[in-house]
Parts: sequence; structure tokens; C-alpha cells
Amino acid sequence: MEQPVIIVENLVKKINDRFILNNISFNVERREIFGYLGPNGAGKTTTLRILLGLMRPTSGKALVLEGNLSKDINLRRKVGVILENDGLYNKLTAYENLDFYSRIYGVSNSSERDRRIKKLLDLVGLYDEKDKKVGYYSRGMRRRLAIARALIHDPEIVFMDESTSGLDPEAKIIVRNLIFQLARERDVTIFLISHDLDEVERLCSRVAILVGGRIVALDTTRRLMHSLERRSIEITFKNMQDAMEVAKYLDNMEILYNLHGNSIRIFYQDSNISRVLKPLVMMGLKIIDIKGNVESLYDVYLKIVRGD
Amino acid sequence: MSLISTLVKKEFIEVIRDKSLGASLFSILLFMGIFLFTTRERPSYLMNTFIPYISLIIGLIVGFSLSNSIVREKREGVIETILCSPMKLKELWLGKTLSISIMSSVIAVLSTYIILMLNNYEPDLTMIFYILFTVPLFILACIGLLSLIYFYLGMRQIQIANYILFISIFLILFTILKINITTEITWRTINIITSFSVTTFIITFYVVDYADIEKIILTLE
Repeated sequence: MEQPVIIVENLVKKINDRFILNNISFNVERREIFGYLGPNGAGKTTTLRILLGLMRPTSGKALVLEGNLSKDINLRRKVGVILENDGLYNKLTAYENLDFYSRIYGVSNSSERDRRIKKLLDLVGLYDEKDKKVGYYSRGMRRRLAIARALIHDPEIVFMDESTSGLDPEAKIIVRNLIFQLARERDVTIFLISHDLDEVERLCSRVAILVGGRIVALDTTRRLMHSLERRSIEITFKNMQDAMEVAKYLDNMEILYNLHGNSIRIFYQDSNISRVLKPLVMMGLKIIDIKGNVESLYDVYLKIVRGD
Repeated sequence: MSLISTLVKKEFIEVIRDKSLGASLFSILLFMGIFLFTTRERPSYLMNTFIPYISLIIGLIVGFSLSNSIVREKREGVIETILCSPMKLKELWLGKTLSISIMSSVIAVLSTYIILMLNNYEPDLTMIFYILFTVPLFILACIGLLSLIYFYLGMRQIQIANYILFISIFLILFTILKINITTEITWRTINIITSFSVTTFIITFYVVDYADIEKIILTLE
């Protein structure tokens, strides 16, 4: 079996006697898009900095590609990084920025550098803007260029911190598609820190939720949502009496509901939807509308973070 | 070494495109104008006592102004990204120090040369050696130390350090012009300044090896 590309075991980080990370453990498999979530101050960036070798753990293990990035400089050539700031030089053009980073990541052959730069600029849709100084770029363009920068040396893993924060919806979609394309077509493992739960839900195969320096949930995105979800169905009746009659029935069945006038929202688990709906149809009530609702990762996240 | 030369090349491009170089050059021209205006009537032997300070001060003002690129890169988070790359902190420090020192020294030497020419002053061998060798070495030592300090300080502390440095340079300049300190350049003074510069640079060079990256990262908060 293939070894995980990121291994975090019993990781503890204390700063000024305060636990920033308190005994966290998780693994990230190759070619996975792993979402790392949590409210502000939960310890996400500290975890990232320890993995990148910028901070020392107080105790525990944080390995990337079976090594330690603070000690093994050559291992850094296999890792791409997009931090909250883009890491771009405003006075240089997009081409010059990528040329600089490709040189420091050891792409020594000039024709190879040129080929990679042009290919990546084309991939992120900035080829026509390659000679423009980055200082004149919009936030979305900078983010796309930062992705190209992180890929210039063909890394095996890319760490992304708030990759789409501050972007307009259109730019967000472009960046998301790029991330998805990377993982699928280039076999890159992605460690994604994000506040955008919609993005995580769409992109990530697994998610860890960090609260107060502890991992409170770690599972596949689908399972996590399934285990905590409360599906609901909203039925609108022609008159209020019908809605009240259904409420009585649900009371007897010990099924959760919310009654609003002639509408009733019924909360159910996957298995008992027919148990709820069948009797309602048999009762011959006049139903005007039925709407189904499934909770998003956002609802699940709030439940976990608030400890509901 | 190739990483350092890549960084130096990048720094040169950035500085040439940056407005702060223009601002530094303007300050120097202003300074030279004041100096030439106030020293026209002075006997030529006094040139020998002013030149040592002028070349150093010009170099330090330019170096100080260019060193702000380190502060800007800290603020914009570029340094954090660079520290995740195969470039070591020492290479980053050395690349920054060399590029800033080279540019500052070139400007200091050229400005001094212009002042000497405009005053029809012919420097002797001691003065030439001092301007071409001792001054750049002193600038290198000061910029190396300043860069390391900038890496370690938080943004607020950097602001305070900048005020202190600026006021110190201004006070030195004011004192020289006001009191007419007479220090002729001799081989002995050259030895003292050179030894001080080399020692400071070597100590800083080795101290960078023990620099704590975590502390630098925490100043970015």
C-alpha cells in the first residue's frame, strides 16, 4: 500500500504556554484533495507552517513525503506553496516572476524554463498578460499567477492557504476549476485550507475540521455530511387544518418537525422518508407544494464548530 | 551561488523600476547641492576632511532607502513564500545584502567623484583607496546588519528602528557640517574602518546561520 504523502501524528504546538495545536493526527493520501477547515485562530496556518518547516513542533511528528521540510532543502523542490499572500513581486512581470521562481526551484535549463512558463501561463489564462507588471494585476489574476508559480517546478504536493479568498464569483470558479484540473490531470496532492465551505464541499475528497487546536472531525466529505445531516422536506398544504393534522401524526411518530402556518418542515433520516410520506398520501390531504432540502457542508461545519 | 546571483539580478531589476531609487537620487542631489553651495568658499584642504563622511553618508542613505524592500516583502508575505523554497535564509540575506550594497556603493562612489570633480580636487592614493574599497566595505557591513535586524523585527519595531537610524544619520551629518570635524584620511583610519567593517560583516554572516526562522515568521503576524 502506498505511504501517505503527509503524516501528522500527535502534533502539539505551544506558544507562550498556550496550546495552538493540541495532539492532532491525520494523514493525506497521494492524489487527494484534502480540506483543512476551522474558524479563525483554530491553528490551521500553524499546522501549515509546521508542515512547511517554517515552525518547529513542540512535540509530535509532521512529515511531508516522509521527510521534514525544515531539514531537507531538496525535498522542498517537490512541494508547491500558495500562502494567503501570493508571494509575487509587483515590480516584475508575470513572466519574470515565474522565471525567478523556476530558477530558485532549480529548473536550470533556459529552454525548459521558457516552455514551462509559457505552458503554465496558458493554463491559468494569463499568457496574453505575461509582459504586464504584476502590480497592475487584479486579485483574481494574481491568484491564478500564484497557482502557476506554485506549479513551475512540477511539485507532487501543493499547499494552498485561502486560495480563493477575496475573489469575485467568476474568478473563484476559474481558480476552483484549476485546482480540480491539477489534482485530476497532473496527479498532484492538494492540501487546501479554506473558509469557503462551498469550495471545500465541491473539491475535497476528505476533510478535517479543527477547533481550538484539536481535530473535531476527520472523514470523507460525503460521510461527514451524511453522518451529521438532517434532511428535511417542506410540505405546503391548502389549509392550516391539514398541516395541524399532520403535526399530530408526526408527534405520535416522534418525528421532528417545524410548523409555519399551512407549511410543515419534516426532518427525517434517509431510511424513513417513505414511512413519513406514505401515510400523508393515504390521509388524502390537499398538498400544494413539496420541497426537499439537504444540508450543505456549511450547516455541518457550523454544527461541529458550535458543538451542536 | 547561482541562487544568490538570481536574487541579485532580480533585485537590480526591481530597484531600477522602483520609484524609491529616484527618491534616493533626488535626496543625494539635494545633499550635494547643499554641500557644494556651503563648501565653495572653503580651503581645499577641508575637502579631505569632508569627503570621508560624505561618501559614507550618501551610501548609507541609499542603502537605508533600498533596504525597505525587505520590509515591503515581509509585509506582502513574499519572504514567507521564499522561505518555503529551496533558498536558505542565509542565501536570501546574502542576496539582499549584496544587491543593496552594490547599488549603494556605486551611487556613493559616483556622487563622491562628482563632488571632487566639481571642486577641482585631485584625490591622492589614500583617498582613492578609501572611496573605492573602504566605503563599499563599510556599506556592506552596515547593510548586512540592517537586513538581519529587519528580518527579526516586527513591523512596528521596524518603524521605530527606522526613526532612530534616520535621526542618527541626520545628527551625524549636522554635526559634521556644523563643527567642521577634521579627520584626514590616513592609512591608519582606513585600517580601522576596514577592520571594523570586515569584523562586523563576518560576525553577521555567521549569526545568520543561527537565525531562528520561526521567530522571523512570527514577526509577520
